[in-house]
Amino acid sequence: MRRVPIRYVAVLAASLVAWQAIAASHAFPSFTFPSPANTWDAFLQTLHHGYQGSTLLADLGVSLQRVSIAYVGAVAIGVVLGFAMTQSRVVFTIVDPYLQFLRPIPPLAYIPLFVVWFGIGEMPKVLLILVSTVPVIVINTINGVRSTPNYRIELARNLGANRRQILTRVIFPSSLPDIFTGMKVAIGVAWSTLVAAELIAASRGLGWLIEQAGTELQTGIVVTGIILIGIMGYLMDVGIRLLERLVIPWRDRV
Amino acid sequence: MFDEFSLHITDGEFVAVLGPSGCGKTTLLRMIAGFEHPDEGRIIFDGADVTGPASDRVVVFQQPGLFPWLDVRHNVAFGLQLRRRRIDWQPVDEILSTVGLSEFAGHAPYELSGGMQQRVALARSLVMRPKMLLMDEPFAALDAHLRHAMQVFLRELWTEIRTTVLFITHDVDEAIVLAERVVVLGSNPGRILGELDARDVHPSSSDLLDNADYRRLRHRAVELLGEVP
Repeated sequence: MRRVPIRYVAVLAASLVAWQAIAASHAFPSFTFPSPANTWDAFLQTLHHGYQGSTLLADLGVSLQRVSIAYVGAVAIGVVLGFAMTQSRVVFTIVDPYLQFLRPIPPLAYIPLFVVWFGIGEMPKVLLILVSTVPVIVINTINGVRSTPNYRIELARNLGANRRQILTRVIFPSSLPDIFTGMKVAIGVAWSTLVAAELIAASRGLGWLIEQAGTELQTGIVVTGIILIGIMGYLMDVGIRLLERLVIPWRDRV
Repeated sequence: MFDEFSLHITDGEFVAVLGPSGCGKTTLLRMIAGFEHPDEGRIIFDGADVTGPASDRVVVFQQPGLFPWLDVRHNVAFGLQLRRRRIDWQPVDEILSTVGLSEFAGHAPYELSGGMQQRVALARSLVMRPKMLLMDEPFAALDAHLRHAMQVFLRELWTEIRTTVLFITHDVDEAIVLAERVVVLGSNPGRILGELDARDVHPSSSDLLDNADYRRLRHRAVELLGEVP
């Protein structure tokens, strides 16, 4: 993994100083603009005692659980559907119009409908993440299948591979770089969709936490939540990249 | 594309097909391999019409085309593992040693040089014990020094295993030194301009420029190719 350059740390430290300076100038009331120290206190407070009956780690856990279940599901569904669409004209003809028509709709637009149908439990959130990420995986999977170099397929045929063997032993591994491209995009989409969904309709989770704290002007907790959401998003991204390096070390080296 | 085209290759022969680009030599190879079908005429291999690709006629392309997700050993075993999951690894390891890559068995293809990759590709074909090896300018992407080394290597290998080889090239010297018989093609339409008997010239022959046979064959080949309108 590439190391974080020193100048990144410097920029981060500088903004922390600037943040403290603005807060200390009392240009804004402290309840609308919390200082780094206020935020740290709010962080410790929610970490140890929680907020409205749920601790920071509990909210974090709820959000992570939702996003991981939905993400794993989306990758599985997306890859299978993508492959099915390339192998069967019928499946492609049926699925592709949905993909094309539904893609421009921001997933958040479904929230009201999902709340009416499924309430504010786990189901609508997982479903919302699926709606927003499955198309990303499908499109990249299809790309991967289609960009499989023809010589690989011919070589396999030449050595006696049947249709199924070509699919599993040549086309599938060949499409992994594109599938991972989709997975890297999808993890960001999944996380931001979840947080947005929690903001609007949830009784737990990081999105719920910052929304709730905001209505009560607990801006220290809001900022704590925002930073945590950012850190988690970054870590997920790093995680997928590590996984990619593990699964396809040959990417870009062929 | 071809006009009154007839070519007969005997079991165990090393034939080079020499011609300018666009003469259809690659198409010819792809038809023998079974990737493409002639509009007219027939391609008969081992007494039967060619209907599609099969592992008794294996192609070695210009690009090694190794599978990057498999190590060298599993690339070589790829064809055998299509037949059965549990294979006998002995022929795989033997052929790796034949091409001089035993110590690279566990390496990823991209860790190897171009010439080594091409040797893996050759091993992957040879392990299938094909009746015929179809080589489509396999050394064209290598630099001159490496190309010569691979020519020597291939010729020695062939002397040992005596598989029938059809070798496509646009390089006059390569055709003459490698093959026993050189078939010279012309284009528009693709047709045979002539044949050369090159049995007496080998890639390891010392100082080709002093070799009278080589000079005569080269002269004849250039003459034939020059007849292309």
